[in-house]
Amino acid sequence: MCNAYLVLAYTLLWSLFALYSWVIHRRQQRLENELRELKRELGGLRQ
Amino acid sequence: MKSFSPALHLLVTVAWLWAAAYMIFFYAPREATMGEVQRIFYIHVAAAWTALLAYFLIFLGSVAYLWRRSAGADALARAAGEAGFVFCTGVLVTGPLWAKPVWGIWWTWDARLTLTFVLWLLFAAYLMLRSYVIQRDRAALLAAVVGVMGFVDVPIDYMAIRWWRTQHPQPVIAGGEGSGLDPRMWITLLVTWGAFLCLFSYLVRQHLRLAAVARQTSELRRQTAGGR
Amino acid sequence: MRTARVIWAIVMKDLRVEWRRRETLAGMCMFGLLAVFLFNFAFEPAREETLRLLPGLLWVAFAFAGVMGFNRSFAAEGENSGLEGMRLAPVDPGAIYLGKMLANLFFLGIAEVVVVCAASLWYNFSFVPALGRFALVTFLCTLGYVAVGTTFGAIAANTRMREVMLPALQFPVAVPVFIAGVEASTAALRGGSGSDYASWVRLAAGFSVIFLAVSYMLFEYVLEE
Repeated sequence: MCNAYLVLAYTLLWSLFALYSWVIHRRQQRLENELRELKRELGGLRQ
Repeated sequence: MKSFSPALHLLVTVAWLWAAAYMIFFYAPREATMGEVQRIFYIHVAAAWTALLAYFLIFLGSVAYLWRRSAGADALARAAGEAGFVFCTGVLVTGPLWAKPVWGIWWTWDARLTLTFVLWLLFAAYLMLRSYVIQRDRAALLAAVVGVMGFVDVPIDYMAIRWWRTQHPQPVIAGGEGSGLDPRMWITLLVTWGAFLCLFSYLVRQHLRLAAVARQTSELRRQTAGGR
Repeated sequence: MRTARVIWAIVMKDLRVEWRRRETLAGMCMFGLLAVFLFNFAFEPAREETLRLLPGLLWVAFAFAGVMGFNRSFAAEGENSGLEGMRLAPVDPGAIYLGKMLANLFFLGIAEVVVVCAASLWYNFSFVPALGRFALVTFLCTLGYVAVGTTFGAIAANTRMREVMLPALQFPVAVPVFIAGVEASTAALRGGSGSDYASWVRLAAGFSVIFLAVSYMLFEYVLEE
């Protein structure tokens, strides 16, 4: 039996978790890009 | 801990969540009066217990930071704060969706819901503080003070709100304390909570990894600025 | 005792500064009065309902007047690097906290008296029959409120959006004294058995003691550079 409230509750909760996971993932990518950039700059400076 | 790679952690989390879902929908008995909608109960309660644990972790991290000033303690507090806020929001979202079809009302200011909302406000204030502090290096210290004070407050809030509600009773959602639970429901609930804890620890770990990378990055940023 | 002298010095400094400019106190009283004034349009309590609504109304006015006071208390310091001076001086940070707390308590107390007088007049409600008990519980709850508010005011002074940050921190944490203030006031004004009243007073006292102690210990971290 598919109760609308039941479906909505589960959907919303998992969406929340998914949203947060995605937020963390994006932060991670941005940081890793910046890290790579900085390492390259630092390598360039050292020469 | 090194051998328990993030990928494995994620796998275990997903598997455990699926197992919990199976148990919720096929193992746990159909509740007599509420029907299928009652199955929200498992994720609702499991999320609530996880949020409470998260708040306790904020407290531990804050105390550790005040004592030792370790960046790791601060990162833990922050990670627990964010993940806990997500879980607490989940509690407040699933609660009304369960309450409306069963009890006919979206919300009531009974003791438990009021306290949950106060907890949510405490999480929100904690995260806001971390974002709004002007001098970034002071953020950790100020957040730690708030983390301790907020946690000390929770038991007092609990007492005060409960007394308040005994004076002005409101409709109580989800039965009183200790309303009977079928043993199969208990097992399902515990399995679900385990799955949520697995997810919570995974999110915290991801956050901690991120914090470590961020520290590296700012260190390098400082070096390049110095080198120019 | 050096600590007591430091506390006294800070209290007198805040009082003196306020006496010269009178901004904060005037603002707090005005805020409280405006809140009560606005409530008149929100509810028009018949005689019997007044007792039910008045304590809550008063405490909302107190809560907002208080927050305004806590914000100003540390904002003013920032303008003249007063906090810098305090940090550098070889004094116990806990003493600074207590001094600030007492000054805030004094100002909020005055604002509360003004608000109560106005409410008494506008709602034709006399507090005199239960004045002692009402004053006691209001004092204890205000003490707890200020104990927390002073610390959070100092913390919020380091943030952007401090007008939002302070209430966001303050209100959830101050829920117990808010409830106690309203409930105990109602019990006192209604007369009758004292057991409810006593329980709430004990809660407010416990809250105040706990948060005074916790804030006293943690204030050095708030002031730290």
